[in-house]
Amino acid sequence: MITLTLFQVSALLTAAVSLFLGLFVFFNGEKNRLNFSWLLTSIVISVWSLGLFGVVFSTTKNIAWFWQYILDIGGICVPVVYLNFLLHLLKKERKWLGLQIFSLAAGSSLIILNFTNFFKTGISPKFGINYWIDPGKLYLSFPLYFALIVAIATIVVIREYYLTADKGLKQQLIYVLMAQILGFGGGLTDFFPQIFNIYPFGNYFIILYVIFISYAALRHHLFDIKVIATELFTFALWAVLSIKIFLSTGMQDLALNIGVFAAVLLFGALLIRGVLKEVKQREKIEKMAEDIERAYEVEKKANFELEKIDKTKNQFLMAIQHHLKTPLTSMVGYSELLLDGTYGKQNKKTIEVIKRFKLSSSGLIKMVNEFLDITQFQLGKGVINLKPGVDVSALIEQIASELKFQAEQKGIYLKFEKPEYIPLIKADLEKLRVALFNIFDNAIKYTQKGGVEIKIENGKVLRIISSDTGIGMSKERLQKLFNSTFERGDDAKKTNATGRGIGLYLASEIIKAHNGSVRAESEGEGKGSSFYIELPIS
Amino acid sequence: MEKIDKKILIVEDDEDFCSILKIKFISEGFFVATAGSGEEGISMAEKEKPDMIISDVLMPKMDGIEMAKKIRETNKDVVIVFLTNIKEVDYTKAIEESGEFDYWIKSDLPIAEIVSKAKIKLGLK
Repeated sequence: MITLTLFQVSALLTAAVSLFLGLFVFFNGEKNRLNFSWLLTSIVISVWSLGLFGVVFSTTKNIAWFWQYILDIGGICVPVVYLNFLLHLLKKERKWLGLQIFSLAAGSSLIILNFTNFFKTGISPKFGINYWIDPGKLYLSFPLYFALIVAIATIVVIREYYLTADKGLKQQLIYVLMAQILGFGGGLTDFFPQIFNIYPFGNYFIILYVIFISYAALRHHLFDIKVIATELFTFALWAVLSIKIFLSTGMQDLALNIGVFAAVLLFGALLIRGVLKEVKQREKIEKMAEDIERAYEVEKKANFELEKIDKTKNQFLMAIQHHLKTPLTSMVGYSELLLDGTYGKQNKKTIEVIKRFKLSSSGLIKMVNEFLDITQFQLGKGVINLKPGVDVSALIEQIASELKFQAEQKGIYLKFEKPEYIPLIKADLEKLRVALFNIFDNAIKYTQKGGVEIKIENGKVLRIISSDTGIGMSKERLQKLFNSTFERGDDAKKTNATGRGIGLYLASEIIKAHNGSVRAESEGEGKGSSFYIELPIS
Repeated sequence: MEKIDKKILIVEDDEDFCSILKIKFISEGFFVATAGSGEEGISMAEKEKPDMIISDVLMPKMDGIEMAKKIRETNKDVVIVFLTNIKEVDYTKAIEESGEFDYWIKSDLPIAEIVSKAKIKLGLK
């Protein structure tokens, strides 16, 4: 009857798993030099582990002695092929060619030495293991060479981990490092019995080294290791249980072992299927997340481009407006010089023409200023510069006196009841002038009969009320009154054909920038309008 | 026409507006020098030793603000005023907060008022 010790199972399993994974990686992955170098490494590890199994499983010295050669040659070759694989992984095989030649030369020398008494003198039982090597005088060169290559490989991996910017490679290197610690750390304990007389406990870890590297070489995808681990665990269980069937001691034991094996076979298959399904689902979710992220990136980029275009458009508008203002200012300047006699006395007719010319140019400047302010509000730039000590009453009085002529020409009244006292407020005088001017000017423009009355009420806030007997507005128009530019009501177009539909929008923006508010009321078309402007006092 | 013993340096890249200012200030009895850029403004300020500099802000090569700061390093007495069409708060606030320079808006002021304000600045009114 054959019974296997845990140590023997571990050696056999490492040989089987190593060969299986080497082939799996090679046939499932790309047929490149990297995967080939890993296949070579896996075969060598498999041969070494099979040699180990042969030595510890053999019951006769002659057979064990044969396996010992397989074990030693395999063991000597492991660092050589592993180093080759590692340098391929890092794409440094040419840079470290010298190191590879050294490992190959040292390995070849050790193989030759392996056939002499200097390497091993015989084999004998140790720690309950059937046979174990008795080292020769120069045997120590083998573990030293092994440790040296492992140390160099570890330094290379750590160095590359910090140097590389490739996230995928970084992830692989973590697995490689873990594999090296477990595998070579475990492998080095195989030298312990012959050097320190210590049991080779680390041999059990070597199988993990194969799993880690295979996973890292194949992919660096976290879900796949779950599949590989599940499959390996299940296969190992099946292997152990199938061996147990052959080692059954009686019919009852055989039936029990077959039953357990059948159950584990079924559940193992279900387990692998479940894990595969889960991995597929996760991959699907991950792909969807990637798609969503990509779509989000595209949208973000499109928004950014749109914002950029919008910004460029507004900057272009601002530049145009500045360039327009420069010659217009000169036109007004020249007309002033002509009017004040700097260029000599002008006749009456010329003076009249120059005055009209100056008025038109000033009107254009005002319009450009309004467009400029609107563009700046839309750009979100600071337009308002608040300063304390602004007398709103005096400001309205000034505007009213400017508009009085216009009202008188239309035959309507413009009344302003100046209050005895109102507090000074914080405001941008020039901008507030534009806002109030636009509102009062509008009221006059759209009033054909009656007139416009302006009042100031002093309460928690400063309230300016402009009531007119003009064309009034529908409810729909009232709702859009301050929100739109270049839009005007039909009645407004009939009453004042040249309006631009930007005055009230600008007035509203300026008042809002003063932390104030403006609203309009009208009983309906033809029934007049009232505008309420509120400005904070403090 | 009575001469005023004050010299004005006008720094302005727009030839027309520069000429309008120059004619008006000369007609009011001032001595006038002109420059077309910030760089030229610095050399003219050193050469002409004006009592007042009236400068545009946006100009090629060197803008008015940079020019004014450079001139101020060596000349603490000259009155510097910016005469610009820029109303953006970012600019005007920065000039205002410096506390050193005044700024006037070109398109808001008749030419006669610019001269009048200059006279007040120079203590002539």
